Amino acid sequence: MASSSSNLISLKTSDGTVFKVERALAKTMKTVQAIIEEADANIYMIPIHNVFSHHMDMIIDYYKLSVAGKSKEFSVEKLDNDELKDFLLAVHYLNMEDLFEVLTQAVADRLEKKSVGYVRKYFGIENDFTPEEYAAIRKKNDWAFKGDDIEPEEDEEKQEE
Amino acid sequence: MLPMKREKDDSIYPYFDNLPEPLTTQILLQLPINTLLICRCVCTNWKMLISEPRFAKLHFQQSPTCFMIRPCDVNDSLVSRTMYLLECDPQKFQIGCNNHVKLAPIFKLPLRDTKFKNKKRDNNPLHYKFLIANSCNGLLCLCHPYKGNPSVICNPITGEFIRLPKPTTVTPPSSYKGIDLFRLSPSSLRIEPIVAFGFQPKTNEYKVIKLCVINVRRHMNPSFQRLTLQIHTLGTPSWRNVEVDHPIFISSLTHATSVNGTLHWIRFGRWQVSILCFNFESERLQSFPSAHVFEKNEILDKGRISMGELRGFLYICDASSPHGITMWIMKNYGIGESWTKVYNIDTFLSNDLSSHIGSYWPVKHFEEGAALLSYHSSNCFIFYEPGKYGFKVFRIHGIHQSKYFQLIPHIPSLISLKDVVKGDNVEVLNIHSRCAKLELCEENEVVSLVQEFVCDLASTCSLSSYGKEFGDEHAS
Repeated sequence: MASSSSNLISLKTSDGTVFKVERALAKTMKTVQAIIEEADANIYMIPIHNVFSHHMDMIIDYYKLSVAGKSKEFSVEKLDNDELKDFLLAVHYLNMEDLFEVLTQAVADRLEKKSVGYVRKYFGIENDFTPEEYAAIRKKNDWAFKGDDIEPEEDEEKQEE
Repeated sequence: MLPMKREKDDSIYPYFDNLPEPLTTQILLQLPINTLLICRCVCTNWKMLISEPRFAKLHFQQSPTCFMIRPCDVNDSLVSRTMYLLECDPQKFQIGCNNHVKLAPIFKLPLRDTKFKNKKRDNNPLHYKFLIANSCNGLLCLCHPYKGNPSVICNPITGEFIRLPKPTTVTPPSSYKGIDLFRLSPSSLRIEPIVAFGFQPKTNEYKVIKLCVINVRRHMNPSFQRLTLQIHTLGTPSWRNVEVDHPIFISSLTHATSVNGTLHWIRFGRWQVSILCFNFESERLQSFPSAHVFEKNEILDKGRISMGELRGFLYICDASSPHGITMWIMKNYGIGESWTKVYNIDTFLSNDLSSHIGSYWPVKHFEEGAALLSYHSSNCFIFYEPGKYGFKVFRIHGIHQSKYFQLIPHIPSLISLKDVVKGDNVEVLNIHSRCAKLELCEENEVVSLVQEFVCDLASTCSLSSYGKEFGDEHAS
C-alpha cells in the first residue's frame, strides 16, 4: 500500500527530516495508519505536521524499549515542561495510545502535591469562581488542604515545590 | 520552526495552556485522589469535569489500591472516626523536615449517635463508634459495634453517607431434635452476626448481607449451628430473609471480599480453613474452591492470613508459615487449580524486624512478583517492592502507646452515593454539613510517618517468584 512492499514507511516531520520507520511502529500511530489505509495509490512519503525530528527520536527510543519489554525504562524526566507539552501534543496528534498514557502520567506526576495556585498557573487558567463559591468548595475539601500552606491567591507569584 | 525555549525562573509560566480537553481529561484521570481534589478547586470547568459521574467512574477504575488507616485503642477509648489514606508508593511520599511524612488528607466517618454534645461530661466513645465491615468499590459499610447491625454505607472521600434500614432481629430456634432450647442457659445460645457488603455487576446493585451463625452448646461443646441470612439491596426500604443451606461448620469468617458478584470469606472451622462464598445471583452459600492453598490442613494463625481483591483477582496472602510469606492469585475465577503462587519470600526481613508480628497486605502484583505493605506491632509500616526500592520502613509518630491502626484496603472514589443508590427513597447525607465541625479531643494529635531506613533487597532476603503467566521475564 504505502511506498513499496518493503517494511519501511517514510515519515516526514515538520522540520523536513525524513524518517524511515518499520511498519510495526507506524501501526502504533493511528493517524498515520489511517492515512495509509485511505490512500488509493501508493504513498511515498507521509507528512506528519506538528511533529519534529526530536520528537521522532524519542518516539523511536520508546518503540525500541517497548519491543524489548523495557518500556518502564523510558523516561521524560530530562524534558522541561515546555518540551513535555510539545511532545505530548505531537503524540496526541499521532494518536499513539501507550505513549500518550506515559506522557500524561508524567504530567500528572509533576502536578502531585502542588497547590491550587500552582496548577492554575501551570495550565494558564483563570480562577472563575466567585469568592463565595470558592470558599464553599474549599470548605468541602478542607481536609485535602489541611496542614498545607494557604496557597496564594492568583495575584501572588509564589512557586511551591 | 522550533518553539522558543522559555527561561526557567522562579515564577511559573503557563506551560500547559490551551490544551485540548481530551488531554486535560486524561491528565486528570491519572492524578491521585488528593491532587484531584485540589484540581477541583481550580476553575468551574474543571470542577464540572471532575464531578461528572463518568469521570469519577473512569478514575476509580484505574486507581491503585490504597489503605484507610484508622487509629484505634486497645482500651476502646476512642471513637475512631478519623482515617488517613495511605498510598502505597513510598517513593512518592513527600518527606518534610525531621524526616516526617505528613499523613494527609484526613477523612471522617459519621458519628453513630448524632446527639453528640461537645460539652457533655461522659461521652462514652462506644456510643459513637462504628465498626467497619468491609470496603467495596470505594464505599465502606459501617456497623453497630455490639449488635453488629449494619447501619451506614459511606464514601469517606466525598463525605456522603446513607442510613440503612434496620434488619429484623433474629429469633433463635426454640427447639432442636426434641430438646427444648429455652431450658438451656443463655450462654448456651450464641448468635454471631457477620456483616458484609458487596456489588453485583449484572444488576448494578449493591447489597449488604447479615449472616447470623447460631451456636447451640450443650455441656460446653458446640452442638450444632444454624444460619440465618438477611439481605438488603441499597435503595430498597427493607431486608429480606434468604433460606440458606448450612454447608460447613463456621468458627469464624474473616476478610469479606466482593468479586464477580459474589462475597467471599476465609472460613475457619474446627480444624480446617477454606473459603466460603455467597453468590448474589443464585443466593447460595457454598464452599469456594481453594484447592492447594490451604492443603496443609493445620489450624493456621488466623491473624496471618489475608484475602482480598487486586484488579479483579482474588488473592490470598499467607504469612502463617515460619518460613515466609506466600501470595496466591486466582487466575481464572472459580477454577480451583488456577490458584497460582505469585510470590514467595523466604526470609522476609533481617533479624531485627523478623521478631515482630505483623499483618501483610499485597498492594499490587505484576510479572516479577508483588509489592507488599506490612504493618508491624511495633507501629511501623514496611513497604516492599522487589526490583524497585527494596524495603522502606516508616515508623508512626504522634500516637499514644496503647494505640494501633486498623488497616482497610480501600480504593478512593469520587463516585457519588446519589448515583449508586437506586430510586429516590434514600436520603444521601453528608458529614461536611453535619458532624465534621465537631472537634473530638482525640483528633488533636498530629500523626505522621518517619522514615527509618531503606534495606537493600539483595542483602536481606531470598525471593522466588512464579510469574509465568503474567509475562514472566525475570528469573527468580
